[in-house]
Amino acid sequence: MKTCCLALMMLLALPALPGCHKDRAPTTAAASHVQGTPHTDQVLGAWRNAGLPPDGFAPVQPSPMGAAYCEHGLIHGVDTTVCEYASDDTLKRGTQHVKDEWARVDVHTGVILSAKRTTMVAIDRERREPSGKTIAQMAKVFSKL
Amino acid sequence: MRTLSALIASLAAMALFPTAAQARQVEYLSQHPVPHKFGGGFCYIDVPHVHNYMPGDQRMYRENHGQYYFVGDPAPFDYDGPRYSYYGAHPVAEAEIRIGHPVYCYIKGPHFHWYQPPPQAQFKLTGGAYWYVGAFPPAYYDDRPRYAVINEAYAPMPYARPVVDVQVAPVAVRAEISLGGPGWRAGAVVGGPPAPVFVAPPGPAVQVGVGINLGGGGPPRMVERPVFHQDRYRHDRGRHEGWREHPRHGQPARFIARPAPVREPLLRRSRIPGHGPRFAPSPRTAAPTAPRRGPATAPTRGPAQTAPRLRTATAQHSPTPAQSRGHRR
Repeated sequence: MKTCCLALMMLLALPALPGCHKDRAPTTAAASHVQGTPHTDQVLGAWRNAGLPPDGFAPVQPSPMGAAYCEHGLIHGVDTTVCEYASDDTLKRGTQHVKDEWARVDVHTGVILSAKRTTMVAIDRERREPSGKTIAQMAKVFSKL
Repeated sequence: MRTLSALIASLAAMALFPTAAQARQVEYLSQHPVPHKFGGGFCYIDVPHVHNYMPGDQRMYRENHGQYYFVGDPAPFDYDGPRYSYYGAHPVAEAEIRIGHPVYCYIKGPHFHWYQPPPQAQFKLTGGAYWYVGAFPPAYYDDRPRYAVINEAYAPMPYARPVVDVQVAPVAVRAEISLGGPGWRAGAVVGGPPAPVFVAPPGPAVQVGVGINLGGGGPPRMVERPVFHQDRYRHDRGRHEGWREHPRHGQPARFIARPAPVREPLLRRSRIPGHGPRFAPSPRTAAPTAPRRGPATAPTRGPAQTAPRLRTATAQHSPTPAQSRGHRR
């Protein structure tokens, strides 16, 4: 009985333990575009011109992964996030954070690319497109920015 | 009560150690086949990316710090992107850029890749394929025993390899041809009879055969002709006696898949007195002049007899009826 009570107490105490809550990345107070790196709307425009129409893109508030500005939406059903980072350091940390998240949520396919201090993150969580042709096209366009 | 306690304890342990439940993420540096159990096919993402699965056959990859680069022929994996023909071993420039040190493809014989060799590299385009005519460094020979196993991975795969005219092979690589590769025997290409496959070298040429090959100023546009090089490995209809040699055949047999004669039946059901149902040639088709089991009449087997310019050469080396029967055995 004592063991059972102890285990129950441990379970109840779990949410209070550090590291067991959702990752909370440092956020910026006000989301604004970053100068000196391709803007989110530029990226979306390039994809649109290449026959990859952005669908439902909207700013993410607060910006995740230490980014200064992020937008999230879909490109041909592929979950896509475009972020602008204020510095190389936050870019590096943000990139690592994304990769850690992939392992945590078990994505089927994940791509992160950067052009200057702007990143594109494309995720196929549910194996919607195993051939990755959309992501390949997106990457090709993004690399030219 | 004890069971309940154990259950609660295990739940608590799982929550306390979430890393144990993390999925394995594998990084791929470029395009690669998708393993069958993950749907098969080909992944066309040509930038570094991750998947939650390991490569299907690691013999076709180079691994560098947990990152995988596919060095094989993409053709057997439903690949429908651009393809360039190569013959024999060669450096892989794209892999060298991605991995950071020289990488070599050890596939013997004709094969495809999705990339062209860089202009400065020592490749010669002749006979419908790129041939590496440069010198290999010692590292190539050192790694060959380890990486040449890729040929074992491809040997049992019946897929259409590029059609290459090995008679116009660069002199520098003729010795390499004699070593053979998947689908080729030394006797067939070095000092032997012409191989019953042909691709016009680049130039103002238009060849129409089973496929269409349009020559031009640049690299050849290969319209795939399904030539199945199965002279060493073929299915033995359930007997599974393993690899077999056919010493009685002086030249390798080339099997070319041809479209089925759908307009009229080759065989019709007939009844021979005293026996069960048999099949006989349809009266609408021309009576065969060659033995029925010979390559001339069998619709899906035998040397290529499609390109008119090859017919003479092929006919010279057609197996005799006795050979054909021996081949069947």
